[in-house]
Amino acid sequence: MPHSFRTTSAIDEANAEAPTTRGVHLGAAAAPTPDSRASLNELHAAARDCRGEVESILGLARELGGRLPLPQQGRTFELWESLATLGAADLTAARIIEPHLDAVAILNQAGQAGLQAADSTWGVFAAQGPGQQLLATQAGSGWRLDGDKPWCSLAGDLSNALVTARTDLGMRLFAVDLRSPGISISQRPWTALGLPSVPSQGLSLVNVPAVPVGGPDWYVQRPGFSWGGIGVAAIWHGAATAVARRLYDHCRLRKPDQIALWHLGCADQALWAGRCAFQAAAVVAERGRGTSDDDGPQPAIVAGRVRATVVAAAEKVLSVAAHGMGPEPLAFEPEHVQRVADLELYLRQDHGERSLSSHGAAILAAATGPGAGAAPW
Amino acid sequence: MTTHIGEIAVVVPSRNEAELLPHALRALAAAMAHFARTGPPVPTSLTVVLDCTSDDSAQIMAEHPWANIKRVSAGRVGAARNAGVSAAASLAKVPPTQLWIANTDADSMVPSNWLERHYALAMNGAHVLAGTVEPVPTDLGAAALARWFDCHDLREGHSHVHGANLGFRADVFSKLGGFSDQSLHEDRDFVAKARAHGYAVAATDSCRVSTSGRLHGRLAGGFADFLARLDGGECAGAPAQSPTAG
Repeated sequence: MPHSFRTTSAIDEANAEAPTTRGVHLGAAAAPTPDSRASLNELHAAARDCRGEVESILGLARELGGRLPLPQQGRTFELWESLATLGAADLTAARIIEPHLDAVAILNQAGQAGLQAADSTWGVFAAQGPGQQLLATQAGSGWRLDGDKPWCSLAGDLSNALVTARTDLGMRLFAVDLRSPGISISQRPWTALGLPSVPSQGLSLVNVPAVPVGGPDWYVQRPGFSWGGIGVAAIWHGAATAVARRLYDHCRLRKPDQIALWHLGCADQALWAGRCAFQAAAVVAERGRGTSDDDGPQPAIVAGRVRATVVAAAEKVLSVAAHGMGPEPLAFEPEHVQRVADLELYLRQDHGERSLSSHGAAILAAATGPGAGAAPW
Repeated sequence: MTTHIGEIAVVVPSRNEAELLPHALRALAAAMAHFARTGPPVPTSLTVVLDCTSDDSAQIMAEHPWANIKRVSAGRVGAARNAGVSAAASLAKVPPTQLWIANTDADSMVPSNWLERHYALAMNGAHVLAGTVEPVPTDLGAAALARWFDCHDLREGHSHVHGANLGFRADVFSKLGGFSDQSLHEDRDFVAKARAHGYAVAATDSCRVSTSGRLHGRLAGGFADFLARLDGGECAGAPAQSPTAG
């Protein structure tokens, strides 16, 4: 008889079988539901299965564009958790998928979802260069674009893009076919160590047909602009979470000294601040905003707060991870090396001190401008 | 001379074990975390030897970036274990006399007290530790499992040797010339060699490793082959019997 059979290993087995959490949950107060855990873990696996290959990632982008929730329709928080999960899985995938999802959301907000063909992949090119701005002119019943557009990521691989261009009545958004003959891509080599497969290049447009999306100034004034900006922050938060998970393993698998514990405490505090920010912002996003001050803070102010909180958290996590673990993972672990390089570059989409000073200006404007209410705090 | 163990290196050979490797790694991470939390400030490391691997093992390893990976195309577990030990030893920060190597397999799950027991016995002067294993019960029928336990005297001072639960000091390993470069019984031969040279071999049942009870092994004469024969009611020739036990 198996008299000597013991069940102690069954306990260890249960421990070893504990569900792996790869998805990134943004809830600050409650544990995720099993359904949410499973679907985010699945998304994490799907992004990793692309193995950084642009074609596979674009395929996943098209699929997610038809499946993930749009912002401000009751499931904004879920969308941000999906973006955070993509950020944790692979920043190359996240960097390619996010603009496509943003473009889908923008076209829906404009009531022009019909512009999006089933097999199309989209970028959103809204950077302003110091030189000549892209100009839109009306030609007969249509519009034409002429000039240069800097910072167009993956322009050579996408089918379409939403680009901002100057019109007589202000900045306006236009949909273009990136395969139009009037479009050429600058050949300045992309030498970044971060996001090496997502080159960002300049476009030159000559007499390129374009379809206006929304009216003049609609692109930046619509509330969706702010919620989209928070979506990018969700990706940064997810990647920072993945870096912090590596630090957590480091502290867990060896006896941490006092300094290592301090590093872990800092990382946890930073990520918690980020999660609280997303949770609060999701409440505002779902509530919508009328014209009264009682409706809560303006979306742009909320987005400024969330993005600055998340950037600070991500930089904190990068710093304590580097100080805590030393050069070893940065020298020997390809995934960690790449994630750190990707995140460092991706975070530069935020303008650091300049973003926060714009935020300060917005706070002051809200307190002193027309229809101004009480002090911000 | 008192023994001092200053570092523990875990070595796991893995040959296309993508299905079971995640469980093995999670159990090892749990044991390492337990040792870090409750044990002395002795650092531990994990080296996984991917031997002739053509499955998703590398992707699985990406989930455990803190583990060292050594790729070989040995095709024989003895050579794979040797490569793992030498890779682990080259990363160690202590001399071989203070380095304990703990071996397990990629189809096995160590208990959370695994490193704690290896460390305690090593500090107690053991040069080699031969630990016990038990098949995962659900992988075997009840009758086969009962016969398995009948064939194994699982107690302190037992006479079995399993690569899935085997420890030794790195200096002793070098002096014995490592594992024989063979596909089978490299573990038994190693312990026999150690005993023949008069090294202290501790045979313990205090940190039993759960090992795959699958009936389809890769090697004739291996553990899976033995389990398959149990289904037919056999017991003779248990691969765990040490030829020099006594």
